[in-house]
Amino acid sequence: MAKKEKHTKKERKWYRLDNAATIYPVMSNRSWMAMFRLCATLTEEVDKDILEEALRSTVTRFPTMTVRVRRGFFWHYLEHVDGIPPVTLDVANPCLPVNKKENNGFLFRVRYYKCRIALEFFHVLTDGSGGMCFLKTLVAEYLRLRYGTDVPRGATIMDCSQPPRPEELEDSFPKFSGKVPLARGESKAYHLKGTKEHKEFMNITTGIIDSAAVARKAKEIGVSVTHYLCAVLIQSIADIQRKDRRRGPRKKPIKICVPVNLRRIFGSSTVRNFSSYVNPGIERKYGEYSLAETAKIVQHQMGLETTPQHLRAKFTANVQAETNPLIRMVPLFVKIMILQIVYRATGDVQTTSTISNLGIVNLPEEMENHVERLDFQLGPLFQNKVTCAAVSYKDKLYINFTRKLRESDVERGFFTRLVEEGIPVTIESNMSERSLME
Amino acid sequence: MSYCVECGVKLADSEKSCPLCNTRVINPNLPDNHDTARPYPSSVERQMRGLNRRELAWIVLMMLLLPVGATLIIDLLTGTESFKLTWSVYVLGAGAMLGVWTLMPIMFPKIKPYLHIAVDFLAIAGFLAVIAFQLGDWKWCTHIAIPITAATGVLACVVALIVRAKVLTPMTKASVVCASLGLYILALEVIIDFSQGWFSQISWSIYAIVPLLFLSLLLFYVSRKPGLMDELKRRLFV
Repeated sequence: MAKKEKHTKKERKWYRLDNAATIYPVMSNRSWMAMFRLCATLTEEVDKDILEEALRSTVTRFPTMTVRVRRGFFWHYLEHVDGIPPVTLDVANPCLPVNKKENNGFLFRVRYYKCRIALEFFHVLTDGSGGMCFLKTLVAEYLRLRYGTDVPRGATIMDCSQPPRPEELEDSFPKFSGKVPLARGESKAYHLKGTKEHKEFMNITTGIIDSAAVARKAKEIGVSVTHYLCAVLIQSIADIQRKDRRRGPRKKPIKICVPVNLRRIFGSSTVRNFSSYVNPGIERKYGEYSLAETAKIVQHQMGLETTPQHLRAKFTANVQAETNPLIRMVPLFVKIMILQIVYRATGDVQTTSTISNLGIVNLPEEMENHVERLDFQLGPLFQNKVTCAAVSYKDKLYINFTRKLRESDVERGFFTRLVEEGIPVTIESNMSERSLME
Repeated sequence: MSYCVECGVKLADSEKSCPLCNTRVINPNLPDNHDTARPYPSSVERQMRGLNRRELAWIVLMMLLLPVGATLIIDLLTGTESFKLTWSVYVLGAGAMLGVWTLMPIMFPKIKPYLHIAVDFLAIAGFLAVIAFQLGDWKWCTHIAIPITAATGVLACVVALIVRAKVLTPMTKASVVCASLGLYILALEVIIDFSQGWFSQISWSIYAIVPLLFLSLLLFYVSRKPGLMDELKRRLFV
């Protein structure tokens, strides 16, 4: 057995937070952390010991994952942690804030339940695409150890016998930023209200849909699957807003935050955060929109804003703020106070909900035979109580709604609308496990 | 596999009722006791529990009782007359008032804010009464202190009610708050004059009331004209 390498405090490697991650430690507290979850369901039950071994091997290629957040005088930073996080049995209430003491200081969790391997990440480490790369590599390592499967390695399934390339660990935001920033200000959006859920429970409703059926419907309107799903979500929220008796919120626009993976646009191969967002939506105060009209609006708004130039200008604003010498010299505790105010004014308030679509995930044939299903779930957001995440694998589209409200109106509207459109939906949830919180 | 009769979605075998509308699944082809694996385990994560309201209330109570108790003992032991409370009565009164202010919201979080405010002002009035009792002079208390406290309490309750009213627009709320403030200033002058025993006509308060009422009417007018509001927003944006 290789001798364990223990780092003393002075030797410990450290990293700056990437530009997008700066906000997460600032806004985190004991009851909220920006978390997301990725799962892979295998064809056979998961062996805990082998999973631990696979994890030990995987983290060597992802050094920016095995870190904890520390406070510097001017900025937060990431400090290397030795070992691996504990591999534990899955729970019915995932995505709770990571408890540093119970997780050996790591900012991601590894869980298993029957045939499922689940990873929960604190967003400071990576985004959905980076997390999916980690999950794929972990599963590939697991299959290698369990069945001796030789999975071909490449850009999204890393070779753990090789050290990480520098570009995998880079912060791509400053590298690809430009000179002219774009103003952040946007109008406030309509917000969903309802009965608060137990603070340690998040309702998860999964809709399993035939990918081809959704793609066909989207094609009929002439939009992509993401645009179509976003439009259906807007329509289901519009139904709720129509019944809302509050005068002010009734007139606010419904806007959905759609994260955009910047790796393909800018040619980055980082495994850290490198995504932006667009907030398409409709203004119902001008009149009602049909599903097709909404989908077209989403398509056009996203088309305008997902050009490399526009996206670059958007994150240039953040990069310039971070690199400004005056801002850099401000002590962290002052930065925290200012950033909290800025985030409250310009963060979740600008959107009603989020739909994050990881797109179609393809696995090599060697892996596909062992992996039955993939899932992507977003943890609760800071202010928005309902979120939606989707991923397509094999012939199925897995749509996961997560909700911190008791009322299930949004996903009910969403899935029943899909059924009305002629798309069959299969539903499963963690609703029965809600009673365990009492 | 069953379908929800309300939503039309197909339900996974693990679902005993529809997660979207809570309608029970009744499938005559499936035995009642059919049991399939749930997608989630029947265990939940419990994190470090924070203080509950009862515990927090106890801590606050102890923090209040400690200085008050110490003051009482010192006063009893060091007073000129043996075992008679003197200056510590003020601390006792202030402690009681602070107790009402802090313990009420902790113990009764669901009570409407205006009720909290009303009780808070009653506590202030009680504290003033304690001071008057200890001084043996009730005149300043009954003639000016308690009426001003009552007027301020009424204003605070009205503002709390208006700010939380869901049916009013922000402009209308601002209009009503301005009008209430005008009435409050008028009440202040009346109270002060009566306490001096020579109220004859409105004097100094008029300089505050007129602009406030004018502003209130203006805000009310603007709130009724959405076009004018948009125009103002466009011209005055920062």
